[in-house]
Amino acid sequence: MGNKQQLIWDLPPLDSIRVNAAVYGIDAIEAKRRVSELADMLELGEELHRPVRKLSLGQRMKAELLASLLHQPRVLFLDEPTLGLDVSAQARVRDFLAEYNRRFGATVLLTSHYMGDITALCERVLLIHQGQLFHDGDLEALTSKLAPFRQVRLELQRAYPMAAFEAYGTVESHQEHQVMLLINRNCLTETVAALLSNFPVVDLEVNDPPIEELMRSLFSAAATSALP
Amino acid sequence: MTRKRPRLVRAVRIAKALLSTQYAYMLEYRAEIALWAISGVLPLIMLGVWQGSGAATRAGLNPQQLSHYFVAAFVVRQFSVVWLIHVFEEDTLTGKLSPYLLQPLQPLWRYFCAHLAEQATRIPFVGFLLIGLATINPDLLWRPSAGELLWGIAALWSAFILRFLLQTLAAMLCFWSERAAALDRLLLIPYLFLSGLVAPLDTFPASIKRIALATPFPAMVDFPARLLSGLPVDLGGGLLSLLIWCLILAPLCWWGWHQGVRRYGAMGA
Repeated sequence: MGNKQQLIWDLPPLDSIRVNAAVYGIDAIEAKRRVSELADMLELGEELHRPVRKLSLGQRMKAELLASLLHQPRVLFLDEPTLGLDVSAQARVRDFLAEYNRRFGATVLLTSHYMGDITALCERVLLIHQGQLFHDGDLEALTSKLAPFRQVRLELQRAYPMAAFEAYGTVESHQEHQVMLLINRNCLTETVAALLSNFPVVDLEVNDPPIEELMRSLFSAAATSALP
Repeated sequence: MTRKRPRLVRAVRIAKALLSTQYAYMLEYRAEIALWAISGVLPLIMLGVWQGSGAATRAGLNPQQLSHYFVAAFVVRQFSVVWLIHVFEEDTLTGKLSPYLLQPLQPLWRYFCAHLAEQATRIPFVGFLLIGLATINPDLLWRPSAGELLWGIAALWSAFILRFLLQTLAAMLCFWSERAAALDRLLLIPYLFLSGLVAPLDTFPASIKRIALATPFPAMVDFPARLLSGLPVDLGGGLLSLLIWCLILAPLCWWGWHQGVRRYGAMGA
């Protein structure tokens, strides 16, 4: 399914769906059952009876998904399925795709510029940059590859000079009681244990750097021909 | 599970679904279709022009035959309008064609059914226009015999298919050019003058008539209009001409489609 609509603009989605059922040779009873099942999953109801032009973008996208999945394809090619949707509509489409994948065992090939889509849905990530395959594997492996460190945020009982933390990793920011460190993944446990025993820590948080930032750094590195 | 259905049953079901859906779609645009129907009155204008001259009489047509011919040409024109190239151009340029390419149905069938649905939507408007003509001048209408009606409708529908094929061939250029619809405007000139829309072919000089008959255009208007209006016509020759032109154009369309679709790649397609 691309970002071009197949539903007829002035008619309710059910009319286009009826044509799809005929085109794919799905009999009327079976088509009705599938529409009902997919409509439940997509939380679509009376929208299927309203002209497409009167639907919101999110409703339209869900109706497009229903029309595209009526014949239960075993492989789905989805090109930017959440493009232009608001946050809650994006979440609903993602939930639906995950559920569809679980229920029907379909292979989903998803192209997206929204990292939210990738983190929520993709077990396997292929990162292609300038025609070259940069990564083929899970998202965690990609994150490790792009950023072999984790972000550790410390909140301390009292202020320490910046130099006190330099032995533990790269100090990303330092503000009196708060310190942000980048620590190598390979020695994360030992380093965090050392920090906890050597400083009066009030709060500690360990995060992966946001995937968007990693991508941005990857692409800017590529622009200066310093691809990792 | 999807059961394998005999091809004919499947084809009938697809045709029914496409025609009913497209008819519903065309009804949404009925006001626009009414205006299109009114804009197709060129043959009636030409009737007014020709009635005042003696050229038709010199060509062997009496005033009644002349008026019946142009009214029949008006009906033929109404039900053989083809606008494929304009929507196809938009669909290829914007990538709307892409979802149809993924489906197990040749996309041109969708356009074909849309034309048939548009013709069905046009029937009442054409009926009103004919009633209007009869009100102004009852002699403008006539009652064709069953044979004339039968053969006339068959020729009219074949003329529509021929026009559809010709424009399909031109529309295939949309895969190469962003302004292929301009070709249709170029084709309109020979269509207008050689089809018999502005003048019955009998009024042409013999040399021009010979040239016209060597093209597909007379089969698109002159032949079905003569059949419907009861003018003498070479039935076998006309039907053969329609068949031959369709047989020439259909494989060219097929070839054009397969060449074009290989290089198709609209933005976001």
